[in-house]
Amino acid sequence: MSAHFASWDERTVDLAVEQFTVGLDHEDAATLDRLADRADLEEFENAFAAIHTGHLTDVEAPPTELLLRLERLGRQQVAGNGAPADSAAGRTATDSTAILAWTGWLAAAAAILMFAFPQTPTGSDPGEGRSALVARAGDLLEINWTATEDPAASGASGDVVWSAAEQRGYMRFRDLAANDPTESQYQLWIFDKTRADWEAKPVDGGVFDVSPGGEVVVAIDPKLDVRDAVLFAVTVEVPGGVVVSGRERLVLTAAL
Amino acid sequence: MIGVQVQAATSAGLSWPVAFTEFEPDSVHRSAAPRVVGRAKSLRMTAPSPKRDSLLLRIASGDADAVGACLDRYGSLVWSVVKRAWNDAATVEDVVQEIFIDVWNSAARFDPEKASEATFIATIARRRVIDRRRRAGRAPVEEPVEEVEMSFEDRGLSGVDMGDEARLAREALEALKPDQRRVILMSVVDGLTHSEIATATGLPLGTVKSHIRRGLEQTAQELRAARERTR
Repeated sequence: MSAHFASWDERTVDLAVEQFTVGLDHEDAATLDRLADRADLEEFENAFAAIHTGHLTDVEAPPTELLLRLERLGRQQVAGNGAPADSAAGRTATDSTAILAWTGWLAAAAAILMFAFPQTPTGSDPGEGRSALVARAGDLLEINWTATEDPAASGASGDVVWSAAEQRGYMRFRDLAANDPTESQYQLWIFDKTRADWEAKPVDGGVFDVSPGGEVVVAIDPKLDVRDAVLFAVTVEVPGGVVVSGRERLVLTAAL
Repeated sequence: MIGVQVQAATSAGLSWPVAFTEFEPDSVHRSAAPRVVGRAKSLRMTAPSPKRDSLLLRIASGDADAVGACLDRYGSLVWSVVKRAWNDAATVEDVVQEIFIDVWNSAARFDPEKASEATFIATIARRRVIDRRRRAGRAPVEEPVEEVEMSFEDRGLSGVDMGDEARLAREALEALKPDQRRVILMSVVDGLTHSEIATATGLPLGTVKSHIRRGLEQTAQELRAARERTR
């Protein structure tokens, strides 16, 4: 059993409490990760959840329509979970053409037993965040998007920037079709060459929406560490994203 | 170059699987005993056997039938956590949907040795709420939680599967002094910062911090001991 958090110093406790009540920015979250053992943080966070659950008031059931919708979505996702990725075993292709032709992408995050902490970039303007990252990152990867023939990508351009050292990145889009979040959302997939079965199991880079008009900058929200990204791909998926992408609608790619 | 490559891939007639072709949009599965939706179900005082009955592990293994059961068991929990943060029904629905999608996605990460399903799902719900509130520009909840001395049943929790861990957490806090308990709930349930709690209660910042730390340690200790008893 790991050393529990009774031995944490005040700074660590403060950061952990903040993380699990109002959230931390990237820098403080990284500091907390350095200061505290992950298993201890999990245990600490579980205490928050158990206290919260035990002190809920005014409990009520969700509307029936929502439950039915959630069941439908859940069945879709679960039905897709175990399906196609394993069929890719043994394949040796390494170029982006082969990856894009792969028979189903299973998000790496769904396939491993790991407790990921929320790393969603929050609290700052993505445009400013991108500029700052471009200015300071020594390992910056910057790749232009290439549009596919999907109608949503017609005339679309932009780029993706990514720093493996900071585990942070941004996507910039111009003229990518706006989506209706109740109908569909864009989802980013990141192919990390250091991961096992990486061609079939990209890292889920998060779902996002695009509003009409102008340039859109979106912070990347990887669910796992991305150490050596070689390909970024954006698909259109059901609201909330998917674990397995059938890639019926691949709209943009950015490959090294 | 990649554009050409993509075109080549598609025009070559490569078959991209449709992940959800087996799904019939209008067919929502019903077991022999129809699932009740829209109202609370019967009281469940204890958590199910973690491994044998784990809905999340069933979901992780691709058992789509577990989805409805999971919604039955934890729908009210998630709804209530989210509803505490927002009054607007559309936002609440959106966030609840995001949370359950996250739950389906994360089911494979569930480890009954570390937490109960209710705690695991509440953790996901809390993360999503915290994240959304940060994005939207955080504002404290309008009606901070009150000191509640009623039983689970009295407080309307009889329709929710809270599991043993919630009960243990509640008991752990009940062993503390009322002002300590209040501070912890302001932090954990209302999401107030140390400074906000100090301002609201008039307690010194250091006292607020120590109350919170003690309450969380006490709770974690109880949860850990309970898990070790069941191993």
